[in-house]
Amino acid sequence: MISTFANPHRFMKFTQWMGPALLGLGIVILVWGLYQGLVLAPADYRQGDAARIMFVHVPAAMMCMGVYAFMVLASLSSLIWKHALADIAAKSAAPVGAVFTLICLITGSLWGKPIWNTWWEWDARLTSVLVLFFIYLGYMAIWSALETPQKAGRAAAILCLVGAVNIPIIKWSVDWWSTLHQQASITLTKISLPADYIVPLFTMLAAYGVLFGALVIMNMRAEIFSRRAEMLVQRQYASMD
Amino acid sequence: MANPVVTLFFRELRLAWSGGGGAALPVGFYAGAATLTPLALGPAPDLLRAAGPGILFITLALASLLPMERLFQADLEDGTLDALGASGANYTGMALAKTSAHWLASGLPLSLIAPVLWVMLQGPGAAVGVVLACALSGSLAFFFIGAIGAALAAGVRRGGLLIALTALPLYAPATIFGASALYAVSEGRDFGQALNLCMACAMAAVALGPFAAGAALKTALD
Amino acid sequence: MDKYAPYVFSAYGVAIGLLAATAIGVVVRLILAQRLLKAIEKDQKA
Repeated sequence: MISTFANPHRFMKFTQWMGPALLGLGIVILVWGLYQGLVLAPADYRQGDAARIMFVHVPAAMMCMGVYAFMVLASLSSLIWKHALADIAAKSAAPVGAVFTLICLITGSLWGKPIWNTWWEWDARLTSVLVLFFIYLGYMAIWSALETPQKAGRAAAILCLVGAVNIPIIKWSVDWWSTLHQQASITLTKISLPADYIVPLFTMLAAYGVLFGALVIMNMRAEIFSRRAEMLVQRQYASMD
Repeated sequence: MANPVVTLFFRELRLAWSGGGGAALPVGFYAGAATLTPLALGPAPDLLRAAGPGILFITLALASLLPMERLFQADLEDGTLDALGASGANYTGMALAKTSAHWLASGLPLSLIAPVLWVMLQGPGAAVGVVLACALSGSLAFFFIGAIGAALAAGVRRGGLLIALTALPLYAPATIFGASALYAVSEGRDFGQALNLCMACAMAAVALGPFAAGAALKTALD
Repeated sequence: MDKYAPYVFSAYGVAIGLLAATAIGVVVRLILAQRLLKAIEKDQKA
């Protein structure tokens, strides 16, 4: 499977229709999920309709961790097996992961305002997701700062792995810090999930996942096209000398 | 012939101390930033006691970032690292030698001045030993994590901001534990757990940082 | 919808908006990159 995709030519052939097809499928699932979340799911007896925010928020939180895990796997295979496409996959996933992180933060804030009565709370989860967002930004900054794609790819892969080692430590330290500064006024109200909620939640997760696949594939194709263009231009300059 | 990594270490140390006070600059920044604190918050001792420990630790983190931009870049530009790499020195060793030399030149003075600033911010005088331990372990963690960012950004012109952006999120654990220990000792609570965890962060950074920084240096030199 | 409606709709709006903006950005980038490559290939053949 991996070796099939490791060949850029085969990848390009295979994904020509996959990107738009997945994008279409993702939009269909997304619309269905949003309809379930906004209309079909019943309002929560304690949080009322605010509980509906969960359907866009929780899957985004899952995605921001999942996308990072995807980038770690891609970075590992780029460093160890030198797969030509692994770097490009990790690079293409990063902005999508950052967007999911941003969605998670903003929708969380929009849920916090009515329920916690504050836009932002230095809660352990919020804080570690915010740190994760900065890790995404640093990763993308490395890609845009280093000039040759080979160097940028290796440096970004190293940073991705360093981040992977650190994320559990950060998560744990932030939890520790948060219990230390626990404020009694605010606690996370636990929603036990009835089936009415699980179905829209996983529909939205599926929509996010399929959209992620579509966006990564299209982003990778764009990257491969621009690298080829760059290569052709450089070859021309070289032949002119 | 001495081990090139050891030679590099002593060369770095000599350069840092004779480099026209370059190593002392972060100390000046640290003292200056800490002095601005009462000017911003007002001189009320209660307020300073409440905010001081946190501010002391944040400014320590920022001061530790200052030497990072030049940590590898100068030697990369003038070919020193290339020559060392060609002579067979390993990159992890180079990263370890350079980072520890810079820590001795800048990080140690930063840690030594921290208790003075602590007392100026109305921290209890009896706690200076704990403050020193916190600052030592905190600056070690900050330097060795920062070195990863420095090595990643070594080939980039004016990479200082890039280093800050990549390293600052990774500073979170050391900042949490170090500042918690300072607050605990300031409020007369048990500081042991937080201080131990801060030291654990420092040890992990010293043990693992050079490998990542070395791998990044190798990339920058290829 | 109860009194929370503005928050719910803003949250859904933000999620859809950010996803749509990303998707449009990616598609535009893809089309432009493909066009540029084709133009260069044509140019170099001529």
